[in-house]
Amino acid sequence: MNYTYVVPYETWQPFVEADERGSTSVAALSGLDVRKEAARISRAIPEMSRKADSLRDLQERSAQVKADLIDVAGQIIRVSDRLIDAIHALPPEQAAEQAEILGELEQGRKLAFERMAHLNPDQLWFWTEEWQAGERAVDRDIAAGVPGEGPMTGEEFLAALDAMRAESA
Amino acid sequence: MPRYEWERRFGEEFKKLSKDNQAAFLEAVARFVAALKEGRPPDPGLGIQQMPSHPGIYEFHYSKWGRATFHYASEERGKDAIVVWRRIGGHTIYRQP
Repeated sequence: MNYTYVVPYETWQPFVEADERGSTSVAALSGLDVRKEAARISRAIPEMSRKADSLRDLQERSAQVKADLIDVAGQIIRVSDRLIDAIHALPPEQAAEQAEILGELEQGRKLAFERMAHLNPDQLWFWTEEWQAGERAVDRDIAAGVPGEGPMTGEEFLAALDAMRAESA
Repeated sequence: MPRYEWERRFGEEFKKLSKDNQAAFLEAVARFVAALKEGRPPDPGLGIQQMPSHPGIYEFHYSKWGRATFHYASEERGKDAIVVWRRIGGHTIYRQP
C-alpha cells in the first residue's frame, strides 16, 4: 500500500517567505540558516512519522468500514430476496395480505443494491436479482440432491466441457 | 489430485453461452485446472476471490464480461480440492430488472 504524506506547511514556510520577499533564496541561505533549518526539520520528523502512522491507521479503518458496509448491503439483499421469494410462494390470498411488507422488502433490496453499486461496482453482477435467484436455485438443487456432473479429473472435466460445447452447436 | 464437478444449472447455462464465451471459458478454466494440478496459485487475471456476504462462493472471470461461480466441496484448496461449478453467464449478467 502506498501512502502519501504532505510535509507540514510550517516546515517549508520560511523558504517560501524568503522567496516572496525576493531578498534571499534557498541557495542563498547561510550555513547557519541551513543548519537551523536542518535541525528544525529533524525535530519535525517524529511528528511527521506519527502523522503518517495516523494516516495509515485511518486508511485501514476506512477500508474495513467499506468492507463492513459491503457485507451489510449483501446481507440485506440476500435476506430481502429470501423473504420476497417466501411471500411469492404463499397462496394468493395470503400473499395479498403481505403486499405492504413485500413493497418494503423490494424497496429495501433496491436501496441496498444501489448502495452496493456505489461501494462494490466490480461485483455488482453477483447481486442482481437474476444472479442471486440462480445461486438460490443451485442451493436448492444441492439440498434436494439433484445430480450434476462429476467428480472428474481435470482432463476429464475439460474434455466433458468440450463435448458439451460440441453438443450445443 | 483435484476433482471437478458441476451443478445441473451450470451445465444448462454453459450450453446457452455463445460459442465465443464457451471457448473463452474453456481457455480460462484450463489455466485454472493446470495451476491446481501443479499446486501453484491460479493466474490473478482469473479474478478468483470469495464473494462478500456469501461465504464459500468464489467468482471466476473468463473474459472481460464473462463470470462464473464455484464452491469447494472440500476443505482442501490445493492439489486435493474438489471444485464445484455453480453458475456461468456472459455480458447479460449485468442486466438488473
